Amino acid sequence: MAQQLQSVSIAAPGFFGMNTQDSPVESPPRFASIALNCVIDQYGRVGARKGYSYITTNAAAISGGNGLTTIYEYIKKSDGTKVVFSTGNNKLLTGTVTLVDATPASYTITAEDWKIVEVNEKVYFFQRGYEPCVYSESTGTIQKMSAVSGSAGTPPQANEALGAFGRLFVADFTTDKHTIYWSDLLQGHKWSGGSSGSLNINKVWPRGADEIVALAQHNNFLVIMGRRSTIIYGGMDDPSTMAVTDIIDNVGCIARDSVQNTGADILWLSEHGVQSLGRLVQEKSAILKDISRNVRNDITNYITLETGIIKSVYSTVEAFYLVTFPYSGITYCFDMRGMLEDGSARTTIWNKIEPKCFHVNKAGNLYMGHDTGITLFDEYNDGTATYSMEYFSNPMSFGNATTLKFVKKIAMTIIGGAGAITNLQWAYDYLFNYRSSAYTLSSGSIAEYNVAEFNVGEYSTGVVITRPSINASGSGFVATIGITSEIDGAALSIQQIDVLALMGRLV
Amino acid sequence: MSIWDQISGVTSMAGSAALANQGIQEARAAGTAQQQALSTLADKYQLATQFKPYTVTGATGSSTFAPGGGSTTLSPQLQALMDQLLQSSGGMFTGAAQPLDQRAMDVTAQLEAASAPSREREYLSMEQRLFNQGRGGLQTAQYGGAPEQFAFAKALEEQRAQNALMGRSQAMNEQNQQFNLGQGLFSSAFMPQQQQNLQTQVSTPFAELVARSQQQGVVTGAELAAQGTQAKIAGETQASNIRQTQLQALLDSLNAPTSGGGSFFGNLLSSIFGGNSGGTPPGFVTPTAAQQNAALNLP
Repeated sequence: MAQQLQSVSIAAPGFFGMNTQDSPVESPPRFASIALNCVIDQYGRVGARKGYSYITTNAAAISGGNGLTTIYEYIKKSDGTKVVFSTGNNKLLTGTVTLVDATPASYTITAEDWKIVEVNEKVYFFQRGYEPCVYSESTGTIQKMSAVSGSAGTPPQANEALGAFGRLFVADFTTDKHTIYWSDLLQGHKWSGGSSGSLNINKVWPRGADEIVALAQHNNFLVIMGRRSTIIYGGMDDPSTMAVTDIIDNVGCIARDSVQNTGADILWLSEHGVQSLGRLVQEKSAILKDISRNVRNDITNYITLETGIIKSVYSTVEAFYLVTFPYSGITYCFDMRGMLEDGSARTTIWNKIEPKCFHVNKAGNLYMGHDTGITLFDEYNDGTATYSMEYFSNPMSFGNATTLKFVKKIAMTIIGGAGAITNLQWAYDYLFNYRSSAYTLSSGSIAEYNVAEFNVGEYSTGVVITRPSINASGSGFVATIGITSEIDGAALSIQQIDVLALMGRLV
Repeated sequence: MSIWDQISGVTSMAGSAALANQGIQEARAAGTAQQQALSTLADKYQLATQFKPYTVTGATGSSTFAPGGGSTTLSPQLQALMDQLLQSSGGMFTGAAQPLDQRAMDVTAQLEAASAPSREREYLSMEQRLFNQGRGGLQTAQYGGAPEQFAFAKALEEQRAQNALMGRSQAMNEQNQQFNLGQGLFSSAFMPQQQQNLQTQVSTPFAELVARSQQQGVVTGAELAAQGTQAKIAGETQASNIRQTQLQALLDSLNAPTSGGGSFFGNLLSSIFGGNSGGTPPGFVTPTAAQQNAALNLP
């Protein structure tokens, strides 16, 4: 006797991003088990991430090194022109297309862990164990801090620096991990006299022993992040009157460059994952959220493995927070358009892109540092290479986990792709022996998707929509559906997945 | 005149002369004896009224007056009190004369010590507050530490300055007080002596009586001596008068109107007396002024 086909339609599959924490069977189909090289696009769909293209043309400037490790764009107050600083190959560089060595004379660099901050028309370069360097708009050059006119005190050789409240705050020295120093007001090169000062928080740590990893300013509070705890100071109008407002125990920061201020929030990487600090407007205590809750174990594994310098960025334009683990070659992307009900962010992971650093310039462009220079996060290739976008659903029981299912047909609605070879895959019963069916997406006649030219979006030629439909086979109690597509210059989004399955016998 | 008459006359005259001589001698002897008796009496009186040392004894001690001078001795209790007061006053003066700086520092230190506990409490409270605010390790170029610490240190220094000023004022007051106390003690130390003097003064009338008695003795002795001398002089005068009377009678007898004018006896008598009629008879000497003074025990 013929059985009735069960139809499961997943609109905007993976819209909630990855979820590897909850029970996969009961997980809503909007969660994905894998969303590799994906983003949640503006329409709430899982789509391919962008790649990058090189801006820099003189790769020789940093050849032989480990690529660009820091990028910072400074806009001159005098005329609005932009100066992009970067560090790499043991040099301080300026420029984007052509990198120019701007390292001060007689200044030897053998490490690449710079932090670049800005205060009052000066850009400061900090690295632990090195005398800070200063770019002055007035001189147009990078100098050692001690050479800057008006400098005073001992230039702090700190690892962490924060330009906030009209002054510089620095911390994390080779031998001192507990003291924060701040410069005189509006004079980041003046470390004695004036309103400069320091605060030793060795006895403030809630767990007795910790060390400062990162500093941040948020909502007129100074957030001091230790490795295992976070202390929030208020009264920052005058650092001499600063006082503890809140102490967050057991949540610290493990990577200086993972801290990003979104304007309404601060995101950073702790031992437990990516944390979010809510606004401290009315609430006394910080509203701490674990936005990586749905991938907690995965990300903590990457944290444990990591030996390199973790970098991050928050892009207002792209509405995501990226944190990259160079050892694993993995970058986590947290969509910041909106949070899920449990407070977590919709999460995807990227590979192959392997940025060495990030920076969002004033125009909203996302710069990345790569081996041979500055790249721009814009096109759908990693340089000239393609990359694979993968989406896999969690195992689906179609509402009845005790009944055998025979997946008969899988139909997808894919937007974009432009001739990309796409594999539709399925597997049963939590196994990874996927069966697949390749399909070439229509190249259509679209010109560009989501890319503006001469400030005019070209959508007039239409969006390529492909609805591949394949006949599936096999059976199992739960089925996992996926799609992999090689991204090569064209965007791709999964609009909808329809699965037709035949219900079989009971277990 | 017959010879017999003449012999009888001579004999009569001789008898009269002898009687006169006897009277003269007795008058002289009586004057001399009176003078000697008065002189002896004057000596005795002077001896009796001579100054005798005496001692006045009272509750405060005793005062002894001797011809060579007087002396007072306080009672042991008052002497001890006087010594104690003098010693104490000496201590006070020593204290008052000490260098001001040292005492000022000492007083300041005492003031600091007195305010140290409350200061410590305030400091601990501030330290606790700073610690709870997570500001214990704050160091600023403006204030050194936290503004509260700066304010505390400022208040502390102000208090120290005030304490130093108070210490100096207190030291000055103390020195002044010590000086005044020393003065008082010094004055009081001599009160026993003054009381002793008062006690002595109380006995002054008696001393004056004694002195008056002594003076009276001297005067009386002198008067007695003068009276003795006058008695002597009176005896001599009486003897002289007797002699004069004797001689006048003799002369009258001899110079009785005779025929022939002068007489033999007159001549004889004249020759016997050397013709010194009207002068001091032999053996009768008028005392000189010095002898009179000596007799009167006058200088």
